[in-house]
Amino acid sequence: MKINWSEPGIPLSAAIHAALLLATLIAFTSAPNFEEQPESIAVDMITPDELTALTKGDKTVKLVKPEQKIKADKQADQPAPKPDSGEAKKDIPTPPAKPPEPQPEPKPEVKPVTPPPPTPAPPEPKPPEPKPQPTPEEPKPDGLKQAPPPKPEPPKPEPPKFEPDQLAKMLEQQKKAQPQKPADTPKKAEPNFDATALEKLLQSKETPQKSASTATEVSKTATAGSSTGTASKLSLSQRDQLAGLLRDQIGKCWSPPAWVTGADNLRPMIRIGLRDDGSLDGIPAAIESSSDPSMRAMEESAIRAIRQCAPFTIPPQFKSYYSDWKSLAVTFDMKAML
Amino acid sequence: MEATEIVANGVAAATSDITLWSMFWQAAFVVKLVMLGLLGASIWCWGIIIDKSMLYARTQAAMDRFEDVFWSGQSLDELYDTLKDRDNHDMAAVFMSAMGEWKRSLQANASSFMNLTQRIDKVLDVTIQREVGRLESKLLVLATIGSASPFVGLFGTVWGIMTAFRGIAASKNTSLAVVAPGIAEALFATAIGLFAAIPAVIAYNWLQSRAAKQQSRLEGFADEFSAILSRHVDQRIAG
Repeated sequence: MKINWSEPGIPLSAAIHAALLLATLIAFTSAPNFEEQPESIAVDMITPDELTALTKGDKTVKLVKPEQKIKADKQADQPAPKPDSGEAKKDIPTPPAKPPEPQPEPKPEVKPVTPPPPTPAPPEPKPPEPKPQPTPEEPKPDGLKQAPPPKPEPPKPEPPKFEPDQLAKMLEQQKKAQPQKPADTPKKAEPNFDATALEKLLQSKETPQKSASTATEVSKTATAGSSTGTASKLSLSQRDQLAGLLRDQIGKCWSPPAWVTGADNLRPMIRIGLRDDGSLDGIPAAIESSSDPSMRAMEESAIRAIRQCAPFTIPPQFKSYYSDWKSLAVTFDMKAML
Repeated sequence: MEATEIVANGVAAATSDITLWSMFWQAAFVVKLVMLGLLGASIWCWGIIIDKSMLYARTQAAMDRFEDVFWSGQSLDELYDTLKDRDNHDMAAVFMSAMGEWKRSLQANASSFMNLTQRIDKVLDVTIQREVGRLESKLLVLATIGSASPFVGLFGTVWGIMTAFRGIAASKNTSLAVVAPGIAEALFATAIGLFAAIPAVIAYNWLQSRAAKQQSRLEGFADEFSAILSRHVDQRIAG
C-alpha cells in the first residue's frame, strides 16, 4: 500500500492503534487480584445510658434464676451413691430444726440382716410421750458413723414430715433383730446401715456445697436487674439540689471579670463532665459559645472557677444516680452565686 | 446459542483469567462486530485528525507566505505569472481565480468591463466555497463518530450483558465469579466506544474552529482583493 505522504493519517493512526493495543495486551495480561479484605464486623455503639437500660431488670419476673444445673464435667465429679453409706465427705453442721432422725434406731448392732424386709409393719401404738427431743448440738455425721446408742427406749412418735415408712421399716427391723443377736459389734452393723435413705438425707443437706457455676448455661429469664439501671433518674428537685450544691462550691472560686458591664444579665451555661467521685471528667465547656466578648469573658472565668474548685463533694445520696449527673449543665448567675 | 454452550462459555469464562484478548475472544459475535467496528472508527477518526491538523498547519503557513508576497508590492501580473503553472490552494487559488477572470476580461473587448466586478465577486465566492469545502471535508465524519460511537458501544454492552444473563440463567449460578467475565467483556465494548468518541468530539470542535478561522481569513482577503480589482476596473472604464 502506497502511503500518500501529504495525508498520512490513516496508516499512521492504524500503526499507533496497533502499538497501543499491543502495549495494553502486554500490560493487562491479567487483572490484578483484589486484596483480601478481612471480614468486617458490624458494631453497634451504645451510650452508657443505653447500657444501663439494658441491664435494667424486669420487675414482673418471678424467678430470679432457673434451677442451677451442673455442668456435664461437674456431674461426673459428683459422687455417685456409694455402697458404703454414712461416710459424709464433709462435716455438715446440723441444721437447727433437725428432726430427730437418729433416735429411732437405738441399737444399730441389731441390724446385721442386710435385706430389709419389704413388708411394712403397722405402726404400733406407742406410749404418747411426745418428747420433741431437740439435741441440736449433737453432730449428725458422727452419729451416723459411730451409731451412738443413746437411747435404748424403743420408739417414739416422730415428726410426721419425716419418711414414716422408712422409720417404720427400721423399727420393724429392730424388733426382729433383737431376739436374734443381742450382742454384736457395732462395726459390722455400720456398712449395712440403711444406705440409700441416709445417703439421700446427706445429699439433701449438701446442696449448698454443690458447684454453683453454670457459666456455660445462659440464663434465659430476666434478672432482678442492677442497682444502676435506668430506674435511678434524678428527680427535678434532686437535680436542682445538686446543681445548687455545685453552684455553691464553684461560687467560692469564681471571680467574674470586673470590667464586664451588665454582668448580672450574662448567665453563661457551662456543661461539666463529672466522675462519680466528683472530680472533673474532661474540660468543661460553654454550651452555646457566644461571640460577645464580655459573654466570652464570663464563660472563661466560669470555666476557670470550675477547674479551680474541682473535685467537688457530691453527697452520697446522689451516688447511685451517677449516670444522670455525670454531665451537668450549670448556669452561672452572678446574683445567685456571689 | 444453545444453553449447554452458554454454560460451557460461562464456565470457561469463570475459570480463565481476564485479559483484553480473552475478553474480546469470548464475546458474542455481535459484540465482536461492534468492537471491531469501533476500533475501525477510532483508527479512521485519528487518521482524519492527523491529516486535518497537518493540512491546517500547511494552509496556515501557505497563507502567511502568500500574504507576505502579495503585500510586498510585487505587481499582480508578475505574481499571476509565477503562480500560473502551480497547483494552487486556499489564498493563492482565490487570487488566481479572480486574476483569471480579470485577464480574460482584458483580452476581450471593452464592453466586458461592464459587469466585471460582479463576475469577479462571483468567482471569488465560488473559489472560497471550494477551498473551505476542501478544508472542512471529513470533519463531519469526526462529528458522527463522536456522537454515534458511544451508542454503538452501549449497544455492544447491552448485548453482552444480555448474553451474560442468559448464561447465568442457564447455569443457575449467580456467584460473582460467573457473572463478572460476561459483564467485563460487555463493558469493554462501551470502553472502546468512549475511547473512539472522546478524541473525535474534542478534535471536531478544535478543527472546526480552525477551519472557521481560515475561512474568515480567506473571505477577508477576497474582499480586499475584490476592492483592488474593482478599483482597477473603474480606472480602466474611466481611462
